[in-house]
Amino acid sequence: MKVVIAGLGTVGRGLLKALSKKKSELWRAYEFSPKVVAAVKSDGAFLDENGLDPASVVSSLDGRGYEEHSAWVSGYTALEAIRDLDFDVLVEATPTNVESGEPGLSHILTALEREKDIVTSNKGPLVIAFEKLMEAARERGRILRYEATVGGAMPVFSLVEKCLRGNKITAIKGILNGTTNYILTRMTYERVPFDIALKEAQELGYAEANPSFDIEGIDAACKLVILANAIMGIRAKLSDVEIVGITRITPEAIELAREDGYLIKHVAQIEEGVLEVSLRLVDEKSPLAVGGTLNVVSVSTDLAGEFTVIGRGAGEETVSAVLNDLIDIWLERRRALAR
Amino acid sequence: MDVELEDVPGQLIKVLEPIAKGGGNIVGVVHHRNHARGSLVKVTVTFDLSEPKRLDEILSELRKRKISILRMGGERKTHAMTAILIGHVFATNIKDTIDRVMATGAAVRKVDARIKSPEEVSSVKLIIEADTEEELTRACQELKKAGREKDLFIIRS
Repeated sequence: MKVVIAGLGTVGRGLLKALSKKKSELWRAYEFSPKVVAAVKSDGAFLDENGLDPASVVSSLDGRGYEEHSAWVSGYTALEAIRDLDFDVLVEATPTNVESGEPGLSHILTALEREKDIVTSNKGPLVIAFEKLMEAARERGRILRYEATVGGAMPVFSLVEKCLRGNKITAIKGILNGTTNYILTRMTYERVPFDIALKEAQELGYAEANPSFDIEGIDAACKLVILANAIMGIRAKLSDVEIVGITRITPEAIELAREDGYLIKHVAQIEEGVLEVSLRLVDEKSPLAVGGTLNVVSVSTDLAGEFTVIGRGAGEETVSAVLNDLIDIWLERRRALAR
Repeated sequence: MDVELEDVPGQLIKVLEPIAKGGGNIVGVVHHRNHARGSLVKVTVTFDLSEPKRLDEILSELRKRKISILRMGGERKTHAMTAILIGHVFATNIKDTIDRVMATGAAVRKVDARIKSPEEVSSVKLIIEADTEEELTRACQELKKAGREKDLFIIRS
């Protein structure tokens, strides 16, 4: 299986690392030995039609002289790779843009036109054009997987698709942004004011220099849109979500809540067709009462009742979801060949 | 529960019977003769009910007997919600905010406030109780509406 990786941030780089580290295990367990024919950054690409050595790409990126790498081609773009190279699966891991979905959206559409399978960790394209992308994939008989887009490493879509067949999902409630959960947790247990907790989150690399995407609730709302479309069949857009950020919280409010056994959490929920992201009082014994940067999703179903998944919502752990999607495609294609 | 009864013999039993039959344990009976209205007198009957669901059964029997119920006690409201308001809660007339919630039929059972200084925002906790889920939803909607008008930030359970 030949793979093009678009985007070499935490996820793209992490995937190369995992492929190198788990090379023999992946072969033993699944006879899976993917060849990365292109790993593309914003300023150029590592290219090798016989498959790159992932470890050498990672170490050249970790150092400074990646331009010196023998496979480096300066100025080569992801779109060129997707249009021109011979490959089977695109891993779309470029930065999220929720206004246009680009460049990820064009990457995915172009790859689908060329009849390639897709794994995306980039939310933007799905938030902008979920139905269009699924339709395009269906028409061409391609697989489009996106487990990493919601809840990072946590299995949500695979779990619902594969372990809850026949269930109807009636409601979803969760904490879908680790940065805001970290800030709220610090405010709750260390009595730190909002601005200080935000600064800490930035220094630890949890929050961006411009944190509004997280603290205004937009990131969580995007994930809610994908959940609504993917597992509840609600054709919702970002503008359908009622979004309230966390900036107006006070330490006194947290104190008042705790006196009655509540925590204040930034909860994203879909109930009776309404999508909402807002600060809510959550019982401290509730499964939603997770601390730090953890994410959590509680799904209500008609047959199985309610179940909850807790895990790492961002960072290098996200690679786990991308790798699983990739292996899934490999196994599916191999089964199809055997038939 | 407050009822209004004719101040003649044999009236009280009309009230107590349905309560006892409905599984209620009568804790106390107080006549308020100073609240008499003509020949009618206000009587407070206090009772425990281990199966709260049977309250409707008791109430319908009392209605059948044409007993006039003036007031039902606080324990009856079974749906509760906590809401914390952040903003200039007092400067924007907290009494009006609470009155508007109460106008939906719900009750504001507790108010707890943290005020730092008159210039800064305050944080105020309200515990709201209602008889039914629908009543609670209405109270919540009214609170949200008041919050929007008064620029109050609301965090609810």
